[in-house]
Amino acid sequence: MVYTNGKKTLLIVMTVCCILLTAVLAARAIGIYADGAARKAADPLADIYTAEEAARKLTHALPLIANSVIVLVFCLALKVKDPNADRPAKAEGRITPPKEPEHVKIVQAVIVAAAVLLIIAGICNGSALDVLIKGINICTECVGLG
Amino acid sequence: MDNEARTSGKFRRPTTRRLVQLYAALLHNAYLRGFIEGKIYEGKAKALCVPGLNCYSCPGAVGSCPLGSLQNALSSTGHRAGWYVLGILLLFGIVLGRTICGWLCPFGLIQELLHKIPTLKIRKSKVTRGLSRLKYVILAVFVIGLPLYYGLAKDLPYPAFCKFICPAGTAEGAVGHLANPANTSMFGMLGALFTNKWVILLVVFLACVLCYRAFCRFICPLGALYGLFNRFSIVGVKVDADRCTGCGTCVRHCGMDVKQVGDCECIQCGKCMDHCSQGAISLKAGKITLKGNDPAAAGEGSREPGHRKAKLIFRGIALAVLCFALVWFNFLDPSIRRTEPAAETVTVSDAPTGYEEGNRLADFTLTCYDGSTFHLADTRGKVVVINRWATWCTPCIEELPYFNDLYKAHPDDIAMIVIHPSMIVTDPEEYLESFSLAMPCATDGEGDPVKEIIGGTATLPQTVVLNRQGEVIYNSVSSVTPEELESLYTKASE
Repeated sequence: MVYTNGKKTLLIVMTVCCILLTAVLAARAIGIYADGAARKAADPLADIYTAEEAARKLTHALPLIANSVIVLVFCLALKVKDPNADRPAKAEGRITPPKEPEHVKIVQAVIVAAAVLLIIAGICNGSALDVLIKGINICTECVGLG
Repeated sequence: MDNEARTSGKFRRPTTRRLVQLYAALLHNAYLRGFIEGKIYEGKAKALCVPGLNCYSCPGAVGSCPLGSLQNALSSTGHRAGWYVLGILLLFGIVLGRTICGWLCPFGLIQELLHKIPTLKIRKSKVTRGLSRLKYVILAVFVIGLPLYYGLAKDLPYPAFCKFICPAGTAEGAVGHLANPANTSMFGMLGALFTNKWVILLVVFLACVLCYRAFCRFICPLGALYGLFNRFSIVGVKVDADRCTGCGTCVRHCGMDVKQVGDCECIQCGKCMDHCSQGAISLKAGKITLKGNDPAAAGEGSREPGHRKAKLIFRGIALAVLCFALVWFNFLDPSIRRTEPAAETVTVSDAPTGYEEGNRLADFTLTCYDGSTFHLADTRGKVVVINRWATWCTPCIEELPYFNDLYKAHPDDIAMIVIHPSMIVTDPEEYLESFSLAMPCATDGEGDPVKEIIGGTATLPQTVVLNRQGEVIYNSVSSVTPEELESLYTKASE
């Protein structure tokens, strides 16, 4: 691949777009939170985030998103790629070939047997049901909803 | 032939590994209806853990996340040991090791696709190698230490990694639900926690664009866990010591921070095979060579009609399994409860029966733990507060004292009931003893009829407030603060 100055510029622009987009989306979220927290302090029943506010803030970021997509399309069409990405890392001298650990078959058999026994014990003591209950209910805290 | 560089004219054919990754991602998330309806799969298959990092609150997920289940199991250690999850993790580890990361993990696929965005890239160095140790700290502190401490010392479910870090949960679970127009009410529960996790998600995504598999290399505790099994795993990349010259080409071309092929950082993707001039590296399952660059063994062998036939049969079976999973999870699974919308019948007071604001709730009766009976029809003239909670739900437990305080402040003016779902992990009556709650508490009946009446979903906690006329003035799935409860009481009293 010929790595011209034009392609290098495009690559830098794309990198800047990605960093900017991340910063803008993060700042928008922090902005919604700051405004919402102030609203909530005055009225405890007010929501911090609303779908409308989120959509409005996202709309403000649309020009940047569109710009990033256009640059991305150009990069893909021109097959722009960081030439360093595929370059091998610096040589650290010769490496010693990895040796297969001793008694590997015995270790495998013991661990498989232990795993099967633990699974059976888990089904008997009800910890499999714990997994099911946790799985079929949305843990709002776990996914970051609140 | 070089799988990674396989091209056909202008069109670059996807590699076998990419096809397997896409297949696994679809199989992990076979409940496609969930993405359309904005709900999660509630079938029995969720008792099984999937091998890769895939949030079980993702609308499409048909299995449970092993990391979330592990934290939950460690939090429950005070009640029962989580043998089941430990057994499953051991089994995945010894059979597949980090082959899961390289071939099956849906979040691994997302990271690789993000890295395809053409930008300047950060190459591996001593810094990245140092950072790769971070995931072991995260495993020890957030996945094992904190859940175990909170479980044993405070009897609180505390999935610290899910709560504070996991970008897979934010991307698949939170954003997966918020993006669906059916879930706009969920915006009401967002606050500081979501803002923090959203920023973490963005930073992780940016890191993945700039640096190959940044999350996998530096943060993922599941990868750290599977990495411990890498040297012993049945399926994995193996090096023929007799052929290896120790030139180090494999390590230099690897995107991960490996020191040797097959060590704990190796995701067994097999890219190194394409760079090994000696054909010393192969992907094996026991003694069977799945992929190899040895012309004598795999290269020639792949052209054999028998080998090609076996490959074709294997692909046919895989396709049949995927089709069956898609049909089963979306249409046939009897454990999927299809909730019909509540029939709207007009009552004498013109307010229709339902659970939306302005509706009247259908009548119900529950026997409380103290032996009393809560009959909704008997509460007219009082402000009614109904709260759905569960022993496994941390926000639910944290807000219980607020309800108790409100009840104690207006004991004669409020009819309150705290309801636990009928599926029980820890006996709620026993669990609540230490809380010394004044308000009546009960467990929902078989099939959770009250959940249906108040329009409950799989999400907890849920709070419903009725005014003195018995009309719903608030019905929300989110945590509430003492100030919100007091405001709701004032509003309902008007």
